[in-house]
Amino acid sequence: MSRLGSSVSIRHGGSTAPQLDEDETCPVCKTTRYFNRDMEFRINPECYHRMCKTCVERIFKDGPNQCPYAGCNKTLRLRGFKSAFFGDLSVEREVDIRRRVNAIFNKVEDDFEDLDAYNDYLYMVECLTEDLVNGTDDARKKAEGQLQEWEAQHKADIERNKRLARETEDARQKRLTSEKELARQRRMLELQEEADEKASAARFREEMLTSLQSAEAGKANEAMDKILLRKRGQQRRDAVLDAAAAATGGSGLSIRGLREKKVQVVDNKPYDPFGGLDMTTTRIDLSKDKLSEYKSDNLDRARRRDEHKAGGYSAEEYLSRALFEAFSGLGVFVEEDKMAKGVSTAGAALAAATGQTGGKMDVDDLF
Amino acid sequence: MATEDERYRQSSQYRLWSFTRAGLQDLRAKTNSLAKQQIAPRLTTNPPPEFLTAEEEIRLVRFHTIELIQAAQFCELPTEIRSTAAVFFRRFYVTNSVMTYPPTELLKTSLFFGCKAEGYYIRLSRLSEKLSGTTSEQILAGEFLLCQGVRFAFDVRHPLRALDGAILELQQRLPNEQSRINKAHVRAREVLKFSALLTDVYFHYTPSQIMMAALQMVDNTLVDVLVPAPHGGAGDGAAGEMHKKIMDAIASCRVMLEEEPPERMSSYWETPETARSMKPLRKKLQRCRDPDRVDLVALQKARREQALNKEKKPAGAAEGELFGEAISREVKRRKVDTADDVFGPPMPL
Repeated sequence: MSRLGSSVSIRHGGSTAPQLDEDETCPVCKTTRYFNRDMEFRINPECYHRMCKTCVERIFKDGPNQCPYAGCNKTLRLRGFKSAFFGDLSVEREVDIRRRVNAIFNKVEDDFEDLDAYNDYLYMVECLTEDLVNGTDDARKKAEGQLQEWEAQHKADIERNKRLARETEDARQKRLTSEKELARQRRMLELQEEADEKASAARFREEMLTSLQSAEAGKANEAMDKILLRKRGQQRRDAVLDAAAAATGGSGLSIRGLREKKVQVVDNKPYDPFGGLDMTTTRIDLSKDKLSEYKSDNLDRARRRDEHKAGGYSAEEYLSRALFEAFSGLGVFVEEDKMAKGVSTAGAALAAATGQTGGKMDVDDLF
Repeated sequence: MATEDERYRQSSQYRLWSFTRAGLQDLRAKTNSLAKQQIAPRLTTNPPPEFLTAEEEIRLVRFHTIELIQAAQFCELPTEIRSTAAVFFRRFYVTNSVMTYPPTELLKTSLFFGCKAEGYYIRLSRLSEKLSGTTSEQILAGEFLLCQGVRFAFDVRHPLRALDGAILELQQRLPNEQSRINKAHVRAREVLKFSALLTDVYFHYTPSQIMMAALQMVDNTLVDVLVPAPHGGAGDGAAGEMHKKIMDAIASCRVMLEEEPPERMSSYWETPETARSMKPLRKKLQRCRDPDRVDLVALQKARREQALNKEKKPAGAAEGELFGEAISREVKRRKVDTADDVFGPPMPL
């Protein structure tokens, strides 16, 4: 609908219309614009018959009344009148109908399983709209009936979709403003950089001139070289800085119109790096008090002396590891386990069977 | 189910490198027969020589493991690295035949890679200097092969630290028998440093079982202190059954360890029969090994070139067909290039 804003030029009938037709006549009271400069035409979406604002006031002020056009038996109310946006009233009518249909059939693509389903839906809606706009009386009546039935049945859905649409519109607005802000900042930065560059170029030039001036005669080349070298070093430093900035992700690249994907959060349990493996030991107690009871020359040395502790070495860590390993796997019986599982090391069997160790890593296809 | 066991089951040593005895035997037999199949067509001698059997291969691997241990001792590498290198070496020859890849080369690679895997830095050139007659390329040539051979399982669980833990625990439980425990510690360590590496215990038992078995070898009753029988007499309920199973596993592991008592380490070379029995085996290996894989350095180079050519192939192949003399032209160009160098590079000014 936002596109309509750009088509103001086709609009007339409103007071802001560029050229006013002096001979324009109200079909009801026959007043011309010549007599009434502020004449405004109104229509009612019931029958789309044009009449001037004064006529509307006059006829419908005291409640619903019949359309003054001959042969039109529609009952109109004051509230229903509006000024037409389009000069061509058939277009106005079609837009009104489409607006109404879209308000009712307001599903979006995300509501559908796949694109085909969505396309079918769109086709159905378009057929219905077409019937309403250009259809014969029968077709129009039928379509109208369908529309109303649908509206009645899916009131909740329609409301929900409307709300969602409004929300996404809000989000879009917000994103657009933030993007604009970012762009503005970038532009500022660029300007700043440009100014800096100019300043440094000027400084360089000045420096060159002064040093040439102060240098002894015949040593101009040397002086130049010195300055150039300094400049080159500066450039290199700048390049390094730039690279660092680029590496930290400040590349300023952004892509518009990407759909934000919602990640489904299944549960909020803390991450378990061991995948549910129980780390408490059963065969030996590795609590702190218990560990401190273990004594040996080496352990005592590691506990006491700073040169061990300073590096982060922990005697307790070593102790718990050694004690854990002493009992870890004591009850694992390879013979039994592997027998039960057949050859669980299927890869090894395969490797042996093919004579290759790395699976597909072409070890043996050379000769 | 003890959590300690569950944690061990996560290790690559359990998942990839633990086998039943029958399974390991099968694997080795298959490796052997496949190697025979692959090598036979490449040998030029007629009639084809007698190949090594799986049994003989095991003996050769064992022999070279001892060499590896000695080399590691000579290079003054710590025990953990020595063990890791030995285990890598043995694992490699489970799915690769001695006849396919020369064990003398892989031995050095295992040593170097063992250092890497244990986070111990040793300069390659230093290692190649120590092992006389070895270049650094030779050591590196087999590196990727070795990685593939051990199936990228670089974490080897040794019973050595477990032994430290067990000894600490024993000192805690038997405070009055320090000298006995210390003696057992030293001797059990000897067992783990030698017997455990020469036998298949790493494939069949868990580190703590190996450690317990070694302890049992040197002092019969210490294990009972560490793994006491459940109260109320053995043999009743799940706890009793578990205890019995653990003891059985330790006992059978001990039997396996006792095949290679640590005393043999020093005497391995002195006994003339081992030297005598090894000699014909090595000669046999000389005759039947894979001629394409004797020189790992050349093999690696060829593979690299092959990989490079593979990328270039589309363009190169088409050109070669169009201009039959493309290759000779290339050779000519190279000749011309070198001809320019007759007088050496330009003089530095």
